[in-house]
Amino acid sequence: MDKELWNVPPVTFSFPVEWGKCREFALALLDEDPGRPQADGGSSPSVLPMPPIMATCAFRYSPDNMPPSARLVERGLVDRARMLQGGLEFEFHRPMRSGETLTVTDRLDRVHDKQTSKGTLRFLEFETLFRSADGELVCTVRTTNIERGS
Amino acid sequence: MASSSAQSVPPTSNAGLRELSELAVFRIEDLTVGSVMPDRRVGPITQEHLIRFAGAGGDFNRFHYDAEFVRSRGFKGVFAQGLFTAGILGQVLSAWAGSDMLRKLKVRFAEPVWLGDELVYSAVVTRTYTAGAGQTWADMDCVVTSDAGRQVLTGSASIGAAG
Repeated sequence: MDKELWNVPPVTFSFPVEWGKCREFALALLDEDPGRPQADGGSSPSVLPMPPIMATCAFRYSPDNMPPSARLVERGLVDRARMLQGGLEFEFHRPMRSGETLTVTDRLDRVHDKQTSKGTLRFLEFETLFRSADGELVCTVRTTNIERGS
Repeated sequence: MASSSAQSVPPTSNAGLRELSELAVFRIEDLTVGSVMPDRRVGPITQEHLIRFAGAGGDFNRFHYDAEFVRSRGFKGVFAQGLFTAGILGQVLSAWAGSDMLRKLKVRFAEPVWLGDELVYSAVVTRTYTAGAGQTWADMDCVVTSDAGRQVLTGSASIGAAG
């Protein structure tokens, strides 16, 4: 099974950081000021900071509209009914702004098992990298899903 | 995580994050271990909040709006998307420290957030240091607590200028 997990290839796609989506996200997160002034002096309402959590929804722009965990479920490699959401970790190497188009790569990064009193837990760690048009790494997202033993 | 530090800006009301942003007059260089972000109260969480967030993110999982379905799966009722709770933390930190200043955010979903929950977002500085090209960064422990006293999300963040 492990070998099959690693046979699922990374997926790379373009992610346009849309002004309207940034605003929609911020407002949905109860932020009444999506265009607050930015550290570099930029405060033009024509450019908005990308809400941090919006990075987790970039997969909506991927060809299959799936987060990496769902790709494993679709291939029968992970049982969705036994899968739990674990941790979520972001590293913002620089701010992301509306108007730029980022290149996103999703991939399985690490798999490890942990024995517990309730059986084996399998930790599936995914890494999503966001790069600018000139290849600069601007954001890294690490997502952990936990598959409970059957 | 009581507000006890001299670095804390005044406690906020339940108004919008604009008010919080306008109060953020500190420099990160002035933060010390124990400095706190003013608590931010959010809620009560409504069905409208969750549907709005589902629309923004494109995730229409029935656990977040279909009460009959959710109860059939053994839950007491509809609960919030984990990303909704975490996402508000990102906005609160950005409103406080500046929208370009969030460098790292790590969250763990501890318990469900139910409809009607009122949430309190808190953060305290655990470390300050020099990072990147000489910028001051601060690490923070973050917690989201429901009005019922349950910790629904725990995590950590780093704030500072990008190197």
